[in-house]
Amino acid sequence: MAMPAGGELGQSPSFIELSDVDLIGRAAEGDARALEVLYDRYSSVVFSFALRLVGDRQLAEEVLQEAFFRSWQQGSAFSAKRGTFITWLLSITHNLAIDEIRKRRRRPQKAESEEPEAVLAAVADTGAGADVEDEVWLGALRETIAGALDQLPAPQREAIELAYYQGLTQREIAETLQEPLGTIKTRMRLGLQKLREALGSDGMELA
Amino acid sequence: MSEQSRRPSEIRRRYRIGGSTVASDLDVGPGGHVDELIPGYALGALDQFERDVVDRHVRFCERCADLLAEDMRTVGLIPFTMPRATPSPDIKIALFSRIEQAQRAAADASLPTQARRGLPRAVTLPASRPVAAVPADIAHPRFARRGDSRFSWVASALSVPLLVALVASGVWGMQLRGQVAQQSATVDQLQAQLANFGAGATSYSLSPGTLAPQAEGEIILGADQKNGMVRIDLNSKQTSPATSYEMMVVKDGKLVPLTEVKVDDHGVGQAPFQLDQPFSNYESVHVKAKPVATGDASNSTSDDTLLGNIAGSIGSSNSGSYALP
Repeated sequence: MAMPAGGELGQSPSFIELSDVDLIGRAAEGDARALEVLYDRYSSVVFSFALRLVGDRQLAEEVLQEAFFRSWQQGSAFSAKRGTFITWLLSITHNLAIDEIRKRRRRPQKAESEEPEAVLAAVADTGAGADVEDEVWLGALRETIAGALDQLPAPQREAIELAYYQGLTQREIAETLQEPLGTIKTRMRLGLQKLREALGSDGMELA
Repeated sequence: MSEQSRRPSEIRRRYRIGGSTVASDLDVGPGGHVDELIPGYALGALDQFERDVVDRHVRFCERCADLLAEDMRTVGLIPFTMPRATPSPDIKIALFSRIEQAQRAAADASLPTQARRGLPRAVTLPASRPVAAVPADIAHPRFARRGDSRFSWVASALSVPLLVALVASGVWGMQLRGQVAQQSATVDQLQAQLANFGAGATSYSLSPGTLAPQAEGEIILGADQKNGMVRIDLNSKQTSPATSYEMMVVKDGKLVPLTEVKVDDHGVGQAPFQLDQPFSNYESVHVKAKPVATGDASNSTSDDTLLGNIAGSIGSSNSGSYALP
């Protein structure tokens, strides 16, 4: 499938109306137009997430491209029973980004390296030009999830953040925090349970 | 060896696929359920081995698959807390151009040989055109003009290396197809073997030797206790000149070679094996980094062991607590 000049594959209205599950099904059969619709829907979320993890724009763009390429290659392995498409895609993104973080951890770091959170904040969109309805919905979603995370007891949040953002294994977290491994596992389990309850009570579920 | 005296890493590495009795710090619960591993899996905080355990388990356990899906959904919401940033439009172009290339390559590879024969030839030998275009009498050397003669000489001179190159590329292509076919057969064979393992299969880890402390190894053994597969991951790019390692078992103090494990550029390799006797009859397992002569195990030293020694002595009478299924 050639990409016409201008970067548009010629999305038909019917494609835009299709669900994520239908689109990844078609993409798995080799239809790049279906993947393009998914890219337009989620590239910004995936890129922001990758940037927050790796803290480097170029690297985050590489992760973004690789995540969508793999979703196209492995689309037939996606199962809607196991979760939503975006959850699956973000999980691929997370694995790729964490691999990069782990590789980088083994290399000496530049003293002036910025915190990934600050890098993302510096390049974040102002919201200008975006769909207002989308922005409002995303803003509310962001606030709710961030609020639920903030409500977690600090040790539980810390265990979740060290794992999720820094790619540490439970054993590494236990060593870093000098806590028993069982304590770390319990903190993660309780943290996720509370998060699920908090978000569930708000009816938070991705389509 | 008693349960208490065994090293935690040895206990931890033992589990049973679809089994019912497992006690280890791997947190595999009654019925082989993996509840305790699920939050760590969803957050990406498990090591490779633990991830593999969960992956294998959820394939046949709907209960744990549901729990995992629930945690994955919760974790999947975290990225939505990030402020939004927009990637460069070049990434989209690069992505779809890569997909197009991959599709072309896949289409080329799937063309049947007959169809490929019908395609126009990419290279035409210089000699083929003049011969067809020039009448036979003029083309004969006796009637050839000086210029034509020179052209014929140049064409002939050029055609020889081109012909050689074409023949060589043809031979290379045939070899390549042969290799691909061979590798596909190996993959099919491995998949068939894994499928045969099924419920009751067991996995054992190999402890790393001093040569490669970062290396990991695993043995998957079928329910019949005789057919299995060894998998090694050096956890580093292959730097040593050796790209294959020998797996050996010790029986009655003798080293017996079992199979050769070829390792790729990423330091990963696997190979099937078949034992004459049940696994529990053997004393230990070693993957050797250097060639070791078959025979007396006392000739072998820890210096040449890359991975090995499942629970010290898998077949000794004292290892009753090492419950082989």
